[in-house]
Amino acid sequence: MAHVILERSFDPPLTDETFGELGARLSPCLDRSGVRWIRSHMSRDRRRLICEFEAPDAGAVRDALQQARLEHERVWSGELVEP
Amino acid sequence: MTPPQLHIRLLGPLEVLDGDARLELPPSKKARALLAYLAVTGRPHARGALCDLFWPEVNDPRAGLRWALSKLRGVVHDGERRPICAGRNQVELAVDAVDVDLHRVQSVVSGDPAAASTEALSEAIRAFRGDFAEGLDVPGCHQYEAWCLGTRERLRNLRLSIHATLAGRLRNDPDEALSHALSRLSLDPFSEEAYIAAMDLLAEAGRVDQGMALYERCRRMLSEDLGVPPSDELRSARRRLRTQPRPVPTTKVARSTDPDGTDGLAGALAELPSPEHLPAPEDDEPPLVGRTSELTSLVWVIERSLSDEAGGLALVVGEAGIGKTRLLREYVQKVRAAGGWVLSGPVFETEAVRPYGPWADMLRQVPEGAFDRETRSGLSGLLEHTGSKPDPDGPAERAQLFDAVARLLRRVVEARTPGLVVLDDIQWLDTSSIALLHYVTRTLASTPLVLALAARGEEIASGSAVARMLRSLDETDRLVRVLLQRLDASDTETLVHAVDAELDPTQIFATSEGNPLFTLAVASSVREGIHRTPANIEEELRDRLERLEPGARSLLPWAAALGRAFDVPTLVQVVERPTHAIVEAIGSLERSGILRATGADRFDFTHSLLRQAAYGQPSEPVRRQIHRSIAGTLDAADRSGGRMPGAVAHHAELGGLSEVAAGAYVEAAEECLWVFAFDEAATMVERGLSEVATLPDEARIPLEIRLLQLHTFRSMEAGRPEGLEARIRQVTEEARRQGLRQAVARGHACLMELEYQRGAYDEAGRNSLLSAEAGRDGEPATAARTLAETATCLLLLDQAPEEARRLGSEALRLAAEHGEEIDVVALAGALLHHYEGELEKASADFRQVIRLGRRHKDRWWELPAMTRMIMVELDRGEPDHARERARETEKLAEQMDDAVEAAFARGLGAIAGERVRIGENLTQDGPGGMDALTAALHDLRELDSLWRIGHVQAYAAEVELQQGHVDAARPRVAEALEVARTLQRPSLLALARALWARCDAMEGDLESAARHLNTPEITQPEHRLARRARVGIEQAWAAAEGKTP
Repeated sequence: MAHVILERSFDPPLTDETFGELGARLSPCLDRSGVRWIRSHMSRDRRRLICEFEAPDAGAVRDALQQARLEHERVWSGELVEP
Repeated sequence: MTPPQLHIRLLGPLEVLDGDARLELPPSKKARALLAYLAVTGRPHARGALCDLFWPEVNDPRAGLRWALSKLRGVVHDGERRPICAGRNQVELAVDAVDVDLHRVQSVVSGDPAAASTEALSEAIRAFRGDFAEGLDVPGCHQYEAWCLGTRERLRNLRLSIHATLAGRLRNDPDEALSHALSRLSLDPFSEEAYIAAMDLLAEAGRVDQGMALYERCRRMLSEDLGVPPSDELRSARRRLRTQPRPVPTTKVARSTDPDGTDGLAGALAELPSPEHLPAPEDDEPPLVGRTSELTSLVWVIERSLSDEAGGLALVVGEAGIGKTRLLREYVQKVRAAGGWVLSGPVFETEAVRPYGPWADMLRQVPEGAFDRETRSGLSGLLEHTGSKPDPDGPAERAQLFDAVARLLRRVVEARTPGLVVLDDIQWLDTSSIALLHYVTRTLASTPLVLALAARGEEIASGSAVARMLRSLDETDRLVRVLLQRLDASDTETLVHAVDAELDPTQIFATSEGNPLFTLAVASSVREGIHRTPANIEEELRDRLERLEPGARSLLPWAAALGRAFDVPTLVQVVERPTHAIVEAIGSLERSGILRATGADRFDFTHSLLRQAAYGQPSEPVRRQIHRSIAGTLDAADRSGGRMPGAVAHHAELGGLSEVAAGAYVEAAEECLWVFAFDEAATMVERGLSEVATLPDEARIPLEIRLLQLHTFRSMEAGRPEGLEARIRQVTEEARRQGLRQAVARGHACLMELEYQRGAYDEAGRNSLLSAEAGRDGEPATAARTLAETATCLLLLDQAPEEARRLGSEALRLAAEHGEEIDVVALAGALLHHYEGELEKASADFRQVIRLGRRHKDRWWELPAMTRMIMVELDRGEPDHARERARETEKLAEQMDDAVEAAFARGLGAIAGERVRIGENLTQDGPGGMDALTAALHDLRELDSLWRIGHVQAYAAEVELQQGHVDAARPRVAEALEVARTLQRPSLLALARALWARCDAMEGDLESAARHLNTPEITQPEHRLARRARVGIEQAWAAAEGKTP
């Protein structure tokens, strides 16, 4: 399994409601693609979002976003480095 | 060249024929209704008026009209033939250029039918295939609906009065006249006048019984439905019937049909042998004793049927061993000796869950000449056991299946009489077979077909489906019951002396009390010098089996456990004994009268009581082992041909093989659905569910979801268990936790289906993709979009293609019906067509996705559609087009800053280029092309897009193999294989396996090739594979069998 990162920015800033809606929209697609959402980081101004997934590949996350009609700036896979 | 004339048929379901060929009409009802309206009215209509008629509450009705006209033009226009004239303001169908059945009828029967000639009326009535524009109601279009209903009513009245006029005029042809009177009655079942006309004709033909039955029906209808007594006119008609002299029935079973003997079907029927399980009595068999009056009754049923030209029905009832089958065998011979034919299918106790089993076995005996295309297609689900599913465009409902059976039997009996259908042991008949039997008896009541049934009276549970059917048949005056009593002392003596004239019958009669089978068994024992007094027939038969020689005796439980007639090869496989030993044992059992040959290589027990005794011989654990072995053998046979999932499930369950049983129950339930046997399907699902309960999670969850899914089908709604949705949710969640992705996908699809059925589009959306957009409950466009998006998602992930097909088809239907053009709906269609290998259609659909995206300024799906189109062109063997498409796609992807699709297009384009080069023989190893491919693969790896890498490598490997470069192909196939495993994509996995096998075969290692082709990924995929994978497998098999280099 790969560690996959999604980056996206928002203008206007993201509300809790929109965030919930995005999650609901994406969740079945992720399930079907074998992707697990680990966590997300949201900037204080709510304009930037970084999500972490465990997935077979970055393509699986991208394709799930495509199917859920969700835009993104970057999706990439990488290694987890911890202190 | 002038195209053939166009025929529009409106008197029944709408049909358009181009010469003789039926044209496929647009699925949109509105478009079809528009065509019907233009054809009937035959004059110009203002566009606005048509919009009001068909698109009364739509924002842009003119767009709807334009769309419908474009669809219709696509169907009816051909070269110079362009009957639809659509101007700026007006639309018209030039009816002088086409043949419309309605206009033809109206031209010969203008106004009062009484004024038309008989010939003209006969011709006109033949044009009616049903009600006007049947099924073409368009709810919501009130003006159109009112017009349609009015036209329908007017034409129905015209049809009725034509029938009435013809019935009155054709008195010199009583059959023809009666047929019109009865047709009139069936169209207008509440008309007393129609009843009276038919009764008078029956009176004139001397068919008093039928006339009286009609009177009775009318009287009941008047009293129960209308609450009125019979009128004076009706009573007079009854009197006229009573004063008719009764015709003398023919005393012999007569032979009718073609006098010159040239009719192929009649000839084939004359050649029909006795049914295998009802063979002609052998010379060394004891004679039929003490059944003269019973046989006479049965023969009388045939006689009456022939003289009345009406259906006959006989029921032989009696205890086990009383001689029901023996009597039926004699009856069969009587009918055959009179030149008639007999059809029958065996009914087995263990097969009560094989829906229509006896009917299917019976109808397979019907000569080929009796089937027309429609009947063949209607019965495909029932008769085809080729390992593939029956024709999906076959009958849409059970009624059509039943109708096809009735039509076939009618055709057969019209070709030759007497005709007899026999069903023995109906106490074991499955519920679907009973329903069909009931239907046939009712539908063919006026056809001289005789049905003979036999049952063990004591085994028919009160309230069971058989009991209900028999009660209802009792209410007709056609059923003749033949009750078989025990033989008296004198008849028993005759029977005993037939075995051995020296035997003393008194003691034997005291023991057997006149049960013939028991009598014969005891007589045989006494002849062998064994004198004992068994308590009952079962005990006597057990003792008889005990006395057999050990080799033969030990074979019996196996033969009995098979549960039906068996062939030697199956028994050899199951028992795992040498063939010669089995053949020897069977010979011994045949000589002992336990088994008898029923066909080439096939055997059966001489009596079902013997089968039961043999089955009871071994202990429970041994029986379990026997069933286990049979299940294994049948399951293995399944993979290579004739499917018998019901039998596999039965034996696996009794053998304690829960996983095999549950899998087989899924298949068996699916088979039931194909033949509309919903009750049996529900029973099998429940049995399957009880089998999975003890399995470990990994095995249980996928099977449980597959079983539960069967309950979600619309056709299963009536018997749906409570709490189904909650259970599916729970199992789907378990699947998610276990990482069983195919099961999760299936679970979501099930939930979506349930929610969609109850109209909860927002919920359905959450289970698919678009909860936000699906918020506008109930809008067809939203529903279509939601369904299509789920179908798309499943197809892109190579998951649950059958569900995707259902959802996608529903989306297409909804969108077409409401005149909506939606990019994702077209995309679902494109992906479905690509999956199934319908490449022309796929290509057209993908182009539509792109067009719609551009038109609606929403180009979300444009790039994925374009890259898929490159794949379609490669699959079509059009590398030139693929290369061109790849260039366009790459350019667009770069403009849209989509590095992934750009790299994918580049890779596919390089492969297309290579294929062009090979085709043009330009060079053996085009360096440029493969360099571009390497670069594209490098980019895809950087971007970590495994799915695209897998497909590019599979295409590239094919190119390498085409040039004989096995070494170069291997690493590509290996990567495709790894990708497919990681992503769990069954079609890519099977394709990669097949390519690997092709590599092996090309290197001469045919054994390894065959091993790879026999791996479960190929032989037992999780679902039906994509066409591309299936083609790959065929190519690999061809290579492995040395058919290609």
